[in-house]
Amino acid sequence: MANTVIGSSIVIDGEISGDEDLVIQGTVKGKISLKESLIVAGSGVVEADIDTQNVEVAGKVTGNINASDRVELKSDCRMVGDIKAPRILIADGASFKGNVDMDVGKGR
Amino acid sequence: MAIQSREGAGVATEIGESILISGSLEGDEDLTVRGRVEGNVRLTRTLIVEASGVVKADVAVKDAVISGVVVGNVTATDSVQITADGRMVGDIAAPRVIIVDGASFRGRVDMGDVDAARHDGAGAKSLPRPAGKASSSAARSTQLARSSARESGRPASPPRPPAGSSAPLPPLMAGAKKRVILKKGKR
Amino acid sequence: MADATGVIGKGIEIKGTLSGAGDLVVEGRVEGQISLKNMLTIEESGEVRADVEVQSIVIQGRMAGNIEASDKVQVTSTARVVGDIKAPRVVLEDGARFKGSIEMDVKLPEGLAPHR
Repeated sequence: MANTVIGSSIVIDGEISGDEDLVIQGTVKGKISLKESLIVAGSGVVEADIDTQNVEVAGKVTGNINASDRVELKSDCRMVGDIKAPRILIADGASFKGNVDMDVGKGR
Repeated sequence: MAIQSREGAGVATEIGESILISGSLEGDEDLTVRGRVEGNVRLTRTLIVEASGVVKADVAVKDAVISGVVVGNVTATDSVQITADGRMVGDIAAPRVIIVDGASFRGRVDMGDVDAARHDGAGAKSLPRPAGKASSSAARSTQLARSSARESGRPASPPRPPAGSSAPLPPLMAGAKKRVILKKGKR
Repeated sequence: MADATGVIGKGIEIKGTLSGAGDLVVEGRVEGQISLKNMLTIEESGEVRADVEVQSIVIQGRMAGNIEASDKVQVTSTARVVGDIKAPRVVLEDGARFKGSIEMDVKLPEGLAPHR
């Protein structure tokens, strides 16, 4: 399947949705909704609510993440927002501020 | 297309087939659309709409190569090309426009000043809109009576401001100004 | 009414209505109205200020007027055209100078309503 990459000089203000992986190296403001993986590269800046299967953040995210599978915050990333996902990995060096909810789908 | 990007490398951006972007998109790199973009696109480089791509937006770019569907106006500082698979509805404003055989297009094309006829020194007139031009011979004779009343002498420069130019447009269409000047025919 | 090719030479100027069944090549000037069943060619030296109704047209010179073709309109790299074109096939070569509207049949995917 084609690889979608939003290059580093691109600024999108709006909504992105789709059924494939998405790599963001530029700036996206708005809303992102994918059935597969979202990768926010080191240069990426996302100010949006994110709803996907997996998310990998190496850049900057301001917004809430709702992932059906897993969220990974890599070192040097900066995230402000709530994360809701069954699996979460926050690497040493990552900067995160927000709530984490891993009880997705499991009643309490 | 494998994209490894180093930051600021101005690498081309690709929008995959299943992606829909709705909003405004701007950037300083080439953009290849295989999916769907709606809204507004502004690039300082090239927009490529692949055969599967659909762009329903107003577009302002340097170049555009359209092999998919574009609905909206396209303004380019360099060129617009509609390839054989391309389909576009909208207006094009660019100094170079290429429409390849097989392409479909409906809209206006403005390349700036076009000097299509320079004769008669009889001033210029804006383009009459094509309203049922198939039978313009009848219209022509009535226009003849009407237009001679309208255009006594030389009409002023045309009211059309295309690309900020001021050269008068050529006199259009015989019907518009049928001053019967019986020129001495050079046979 | 043979399907011969008529030629309007460089030094000729015609004002009026031209119609016919053959091909026509214009190297001179025509002003008025042209209606042909076949092909009109405007050579590089040609200048036409007329509404044109043809089967196909190849424009290499200057043309000011509206064109309605049942087959193909080709605007070559040396052409300078101002007017509206309506035809199933229209080709604009690189280098052509054109200002006006073009109307071809455009099949859009479902659900795409054009702005206009």
